[in-house]
Amino acid sequence: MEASIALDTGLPDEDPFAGRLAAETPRLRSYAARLMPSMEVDDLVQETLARAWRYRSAFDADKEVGPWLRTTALRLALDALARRGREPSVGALEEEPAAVESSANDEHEDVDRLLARLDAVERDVLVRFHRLGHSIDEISASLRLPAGTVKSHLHRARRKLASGPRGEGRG
Amino acid sequence: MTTERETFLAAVDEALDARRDPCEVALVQEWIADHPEDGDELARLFRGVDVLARSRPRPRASRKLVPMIAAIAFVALGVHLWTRAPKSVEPPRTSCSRIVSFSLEVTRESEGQSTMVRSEPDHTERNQVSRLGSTLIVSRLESRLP
Repeated sequence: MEASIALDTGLPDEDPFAGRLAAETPRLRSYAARLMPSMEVDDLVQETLARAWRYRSAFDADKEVGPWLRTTALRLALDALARRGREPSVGALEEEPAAVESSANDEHEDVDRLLARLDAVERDVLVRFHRLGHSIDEISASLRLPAGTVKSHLHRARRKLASGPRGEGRG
Repeated sequence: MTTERETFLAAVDEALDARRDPCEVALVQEWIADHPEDGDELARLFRGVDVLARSRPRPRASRKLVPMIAAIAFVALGVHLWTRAPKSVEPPRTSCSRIVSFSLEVTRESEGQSTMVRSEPDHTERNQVSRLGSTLIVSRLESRLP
C-alpha cells in the first residue's frame, strides 16, 4: 500500500517549498484518485506538482499548500474533462497544438449556439458579465433591473451554459 | 440531495459573481470529488465562461492609431523645427551641404485598409483607402501650414 502512494516528485530535496510539496503529495494523490480514473492519477499529480513548482513565486508562504494544490488539481482535472468531451481521441492531460486550434474553433461555435438558445435577457446579462466584464451593479443600472434579478438571470444562463449545446446537464 | 446540490451550485455562482475561481472553494473541491458526474457540467461551464472572456472586445482602433499618431507627431516636429529655424544662423563654414527640402511618406496597411501620410515642409497629406464589402472608400485629408 505504501508503494502505491510513493511517488517520485522530481523536486529538489533541499528546497523548503519542495519539501512542503513532497509532504503534501500523498494527500494530493488521494484527492486526485477521487477525481480521475486510476490510470490518470499519477499524470494529474505530476502535472499539479509541476505547475505548483513553476508558479511557486506566486504562492503565499504563510498559507497552507494543500488547498492550493487541490485547486490546481481540480482545475487540471476539469480542463481534461472538457477536452475529452470535445475530442475523445486526445490524451487527458496532453494535447497537440493542431487539436487545440481546431477545438478552440469548435468551442466558439458551441458557445455561439448556446447563446442563441438563451432568452434575450439571460444572453444579455451573461455577455455583459463574462464577455464585457461589467459588474452586477453596472448591469442592474443599465438594464434597470434589481441586482437580485440580474443575478437570477445570470445564474440561470450559467446553468444552460453548463448543460452544453445538446443539453446534457442535469439542470 | 437536491438541496446539497443547490448549495454546491450556489457556491459556484457566488465565486463566479465575485470573479474568483470556484475551484478554490473547499465545498466545490469536495463536491466534485464526491460527485464526479457533476465534473462534466462544471467543466462545460468553465469552458463557456473562458471562451466568453477570451472573446472580450479589445481596443483595436487605439492600437492601430498609436504608431500612426507617433509618425504624424514625428513629421509635425520635423516641420516645426524646419519652419522655426532661426534664419540668421549661418551654416557652419566647414559644411558644404545643407537640407534644402524634405518629405516623409508613411504607409500602413492592415485588415484591408491602407493609410498613407505624406509630409513636406509646408504641406501634409493623408490618404486612406478601405473596403466596406465591395465598396472602395477613398478619403483624403490635406492640410497646409502657413
